Amino acid sequence: MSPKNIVQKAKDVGLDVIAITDHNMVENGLYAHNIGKHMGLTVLFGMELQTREEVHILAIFDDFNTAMEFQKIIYSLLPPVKNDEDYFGDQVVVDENDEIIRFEERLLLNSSKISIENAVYWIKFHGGLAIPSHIDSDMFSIISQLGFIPEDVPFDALEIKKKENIPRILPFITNNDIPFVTFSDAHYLKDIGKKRTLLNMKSPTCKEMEKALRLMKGNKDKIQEDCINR
Amino acid sequence: MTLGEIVKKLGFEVLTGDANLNKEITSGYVSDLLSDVIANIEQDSIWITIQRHINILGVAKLKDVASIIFPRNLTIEEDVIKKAKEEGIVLLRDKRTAFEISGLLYCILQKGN
Repeated sequence: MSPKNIVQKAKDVGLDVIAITDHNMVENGLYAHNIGKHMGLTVLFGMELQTREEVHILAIFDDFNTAMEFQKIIYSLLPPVKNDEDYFGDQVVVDENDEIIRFEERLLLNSSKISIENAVYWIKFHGGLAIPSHIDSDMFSIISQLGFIPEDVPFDALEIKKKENIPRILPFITNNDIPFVTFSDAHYLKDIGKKRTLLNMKSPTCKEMEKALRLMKGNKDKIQEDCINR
Repeated sequence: MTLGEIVKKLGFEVLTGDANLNKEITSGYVSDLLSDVIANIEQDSIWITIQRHINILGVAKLKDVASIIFPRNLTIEEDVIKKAKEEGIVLLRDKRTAFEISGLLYCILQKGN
């Protein structure tokens, strides 16, 4: 997966907005964003943060500088453990020309020492979106780690892997206002666009997305229309 | 065996004051995944965990857990301690690891039976 073929594939399968969300790292988004600009695809910045509770939260931002500021905080709170490339693979930053710019040495699959609450407040204060990912998963999901979804955290949405799992997880969600979304969580090109969420927005920005999501609140009954599998 | 007796025997630090130390303890459980705790912990247990999110109190209440103990002298946020006091859940802390604490607890609870 290089920025170029990610953007090309996203265009080919008819997506309008994507976000590059590496584990605890935002840098790769920049190059996809630049290519997307030329090709008419909005590429937002972000990361899949792993909090100290070992919960995965998607943090999504409009602009690279804010996202990088967030990365700096998260990075400073990651344990100084080196990546083992043989075991975990390379952690690379790749530019527009598919050239490797650098290797990240610190192991990114670790948990950052930031609480869910502090992370979400930072993200929301800086105009981003905060969405717990794969909440129906047995690992690294807010429900597997915390038993139920804390009520007073201002999440924009909850991301599910499979719509069929909604009845199973509903008892662990007390705040019915948060809408469900689904994303492809694509780790390979072939998976891009396989799952997608339809949003009505004036422009492809976090602000507009936040508004659109708010209108979708309590969408568990119209999940078939909002969340699409291909 | 009561919580108070256990605290005295093993020298645990009590974070939530003197209240509720007369609770009778019958079992213990070690886990940091709250979904797992919900599924498997027995009531009137001591729960050993490094998970410090405030949701631990919701789980403890749901499952009638008597007390939560934090290993390695972990720092616990003030609002967690305050809420635990309100809910009548005893928070304990110790400098030993979860492994050592479970070993000690297992021994004295077995003897008690």
